[in-house]
Amino acid sequence: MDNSKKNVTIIGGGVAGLTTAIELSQYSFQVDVIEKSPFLGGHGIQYACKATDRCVKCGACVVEEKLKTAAALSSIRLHTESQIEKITQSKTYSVSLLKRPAFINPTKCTNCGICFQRCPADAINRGFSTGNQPLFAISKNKCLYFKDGSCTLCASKCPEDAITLTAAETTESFNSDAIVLATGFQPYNPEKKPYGYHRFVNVITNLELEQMLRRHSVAQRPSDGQAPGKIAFIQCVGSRDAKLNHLWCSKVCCGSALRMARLIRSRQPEIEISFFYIDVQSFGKNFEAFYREAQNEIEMIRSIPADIYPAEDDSLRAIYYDSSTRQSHEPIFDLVILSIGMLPNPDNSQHTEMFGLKSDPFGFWSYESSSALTNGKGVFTVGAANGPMSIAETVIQAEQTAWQVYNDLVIESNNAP
Amino acid sequence: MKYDSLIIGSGPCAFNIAEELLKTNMNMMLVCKDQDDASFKARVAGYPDSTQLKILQDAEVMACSGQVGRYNVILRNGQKTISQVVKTIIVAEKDDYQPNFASYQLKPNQQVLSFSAMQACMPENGDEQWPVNEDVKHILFLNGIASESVAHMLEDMMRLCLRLQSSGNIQTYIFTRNLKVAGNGIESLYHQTKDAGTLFIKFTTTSPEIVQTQTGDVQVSYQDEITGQLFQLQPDLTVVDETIKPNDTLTSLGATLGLKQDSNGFLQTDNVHRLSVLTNRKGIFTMGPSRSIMSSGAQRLEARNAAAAVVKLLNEDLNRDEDNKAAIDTSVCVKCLTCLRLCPYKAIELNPQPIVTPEACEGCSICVAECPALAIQMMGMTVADMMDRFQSEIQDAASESFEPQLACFCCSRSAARAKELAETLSFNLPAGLRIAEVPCAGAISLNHILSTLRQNVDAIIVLTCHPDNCHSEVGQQMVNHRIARIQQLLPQIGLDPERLMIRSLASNMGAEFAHILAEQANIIRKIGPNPIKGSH
Ligand SMILES: Cc1cc2nc3c(=O)[nH]c(=O)nc-3n(C[C@H](O)[C@H](O)[C@H](O)COP(=O)(O)OP(=O)(O)OC[C@H]3O[C@@H](n4cnc5c(N)ncnc54)[C@H](O)[C@@H]3O)c2cc1C
Repeated sequence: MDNSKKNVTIIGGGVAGLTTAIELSQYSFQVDVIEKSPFLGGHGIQYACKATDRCVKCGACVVEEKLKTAAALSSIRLHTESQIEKITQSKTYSVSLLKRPAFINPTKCTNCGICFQRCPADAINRGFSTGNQPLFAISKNKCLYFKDGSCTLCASKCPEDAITLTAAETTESFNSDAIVLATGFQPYNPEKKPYGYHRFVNVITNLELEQMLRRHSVAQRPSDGQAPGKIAFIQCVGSRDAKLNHLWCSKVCCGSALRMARLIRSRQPEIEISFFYIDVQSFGKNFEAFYREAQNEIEMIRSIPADIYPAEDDSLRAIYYDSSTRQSHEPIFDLVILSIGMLPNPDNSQHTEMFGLKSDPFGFWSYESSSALTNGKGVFTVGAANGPMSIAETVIQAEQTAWQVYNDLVIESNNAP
Repeated sequence: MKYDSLIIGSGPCAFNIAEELLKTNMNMMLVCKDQDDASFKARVAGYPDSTQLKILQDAEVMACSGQVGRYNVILRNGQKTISQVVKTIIVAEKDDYQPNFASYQLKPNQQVLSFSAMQACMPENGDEQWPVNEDVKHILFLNGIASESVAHMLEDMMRLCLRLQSSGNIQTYIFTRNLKVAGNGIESLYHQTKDAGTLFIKFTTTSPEIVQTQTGDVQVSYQDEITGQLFQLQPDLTVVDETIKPNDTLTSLGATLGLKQDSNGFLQTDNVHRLSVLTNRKGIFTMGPSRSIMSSGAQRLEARNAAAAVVKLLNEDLNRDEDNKAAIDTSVCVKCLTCLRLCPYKAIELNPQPIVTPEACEGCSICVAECPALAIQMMGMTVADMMDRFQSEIQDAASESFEPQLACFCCSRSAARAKELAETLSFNLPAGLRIAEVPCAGAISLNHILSTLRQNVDAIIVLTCHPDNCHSEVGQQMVNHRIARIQQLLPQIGLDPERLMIRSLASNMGAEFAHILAEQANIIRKIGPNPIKGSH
């Protein structure tokens, strides 16, 4: 199989983009992955392993493995902090990239973390994985140098001389035979919900809990770093919400939240957990057994709290109606986790227009309709950009997408008369 | 003739994968158990015999030997027995829908149908044959009351309800516990169905009471959990959901092909390393309802995964990593067949001596660790190799501060990666830490452990993958048994069992790696140096 002269451009470096890239390189394609953030791996690279006494198949380690594999393959070029400036199509696509300045030189940086520790403005972000190289990135919005030129501490303290605050934007262009859109999802911002997010410090999202568990292994109250006595999970925040016209289920949050709840219980058995839900969605091959065990460890409450008020000592009072007793209750929690939904990526509309794609009424593409209309067009969509899906489903769809690309670019042209 | 692939199955999945592979220049044999089932006949009719696709009807796999690239399959075809060599095998059987009549204490009759039977009465093309006469006004669908349902069954039920509601004089009810809307478009379909008039009754703490009278009528009484009101319902037709089971041929097929089953009986264990269509054997794939419960849409798309898996495998250089394969020294082998029995990938054949097939060997080194005659080798896996990795300067015994020397065995797929992550994230690791990376924790033998205890080490830490995340499935369990045995022995030779510890980790657990080692270093600091260290 020699497809090495054929190039595929993948937009988005989450697990969808990375897996598609790895698969395509197995058909000998050359692949360019364009990631707009400084860190590859998308949302999944931030997640914690949720194994208790055994693996619960959350898939977080799969993202780690895909990133490591993709980074090691010479046929894949990974571009971080990069965005498409322009794509035009004649016979093939010509792709122009705009690359934000590489303030931290990846070949010089040794991940020592001195810049991260010393920055007075909290302007240095840290990645999540060994596959995030360099591990640090400078946020221009927060950096004092870009505000008023007043600080160059990181550059002067870097022992490897790896930081150049005057680095400039660069551009790059190449030709590509197909485009794969793997731009993922956007997490719902729950500030408008009556749960006090960003007002009460002990109300956090499930995404923040994932990051907390990854970093610290245990649940902590943001207010004081102490272990919470009682935790509430509130499901379907921003999904299955007719008022917002979000008429979709985000699919993964029941699994993710219940797995995190059980992980917390296994590490911090003294913590009591309540789980507020509409319907518990199935996940994994052994859902019934998992769910049964979860019900023994977690208080399952089929109701969604209407309100959250601050209570003493930064704790929170959740108000909900209990239909089994037909009464309102106001339990107090030390930490509230909002299971926020997956929204379409706002960048999608631009691509929908650019490539004449079809999207559903909410702005997700559909894998089937996009890959069906691709013949002769060479544009494919994959992953959570096609609607909420788990890491495992994303990997499966990425294999399918790579097969479709191979089919369109190689098999069909071989079979053509 | 050697076929590129042998496809096993009579349902839509088997034909989908054949269709997908027909686009390439591969040739296949399709083995179907069915012969006169009508839908099967219709399916076969679309595929005239060709050099690329040979279809055997009324056929099944009786035995299988050989390895990837040259599986030798014995088939029954009608009265005949055929032997056929194939490079790869795809298990693509159909699923088995079993109506949950018994769980609701219902007997099927004209008023009580399974969901599949109901669907068969109402084909999509529009000419409904109403299951009963026009007196049918109330239709009750039971979904996930007795056991948890799945999203695609609810989706199909709601589509039927929509059509029934649109007839104008039928009221449909869906009784459920957890409404399974986790699928694209299902939540909006739910709103559409509700707006069309279908009544959804959800149960949490109570259950509907369902009674079937002598005459076969169904009477249901239930409490609306939100208002507390009691209701009676006498549906003219009750439609019962189904449990989706693996095809009953899978158990014997799995045994014939050497595949591991999951706890439900599907031919793929619940392990992230098997995504998407992989099995424990190289060159044997399992797709659709042969590996998991799946909607028909997902089954259709999975033909792409299976086709991709075959094409990639046949293009792969299976001998690429030849240094990391086990090899049996036939002059030492006593033919006890421990290796043959234990190899999780079935990569060992009798020929007539046991030999390792390098193309199928995944290099886990479990056989090396378990061979009682020490007749199997793999690069880097001897005791001496391992001890080299733990070499460190003998500490000055008089030194004030005792820094424990920790020998840590790490599985290369998980703990060794977690260690890298801990370093990347600048966690402090104990100064006396020495690492030996192993391909699978199952590679760590009794000998490795006992020899290490006599090195210059104060404690041994074995870090495996989590149970059910182990690529070999068994390596993690085997090393746990070995360690438990040694831990029992340690007090007899005057060693504290705490000097030998085993834990499981995943590749993304950098913080936990650092915690475990810090904790162990503290324990050893308290109990002091290993009294037998350096006694070899
Ligand atoms: C809180 C939470 C917990 C979850 N937990 C689990 C779990 O435990 N298990 C599980 O299986 N799934 C879980 N999921 C789902 C999981 O996050 C998704 O399956 C997965 O992230 C999908 O991968 P993706 O690559 O399609 O999208 P993403 O992870 O969103 O990646 C998309 C990437 O594309 C980049 N990008 C976007 N637009 C552009 C552009 N215009 N140009 C260049 N790059 C762009 C983004 O920066 C990002 O890196 C969870 C989801 C949430 C919200």
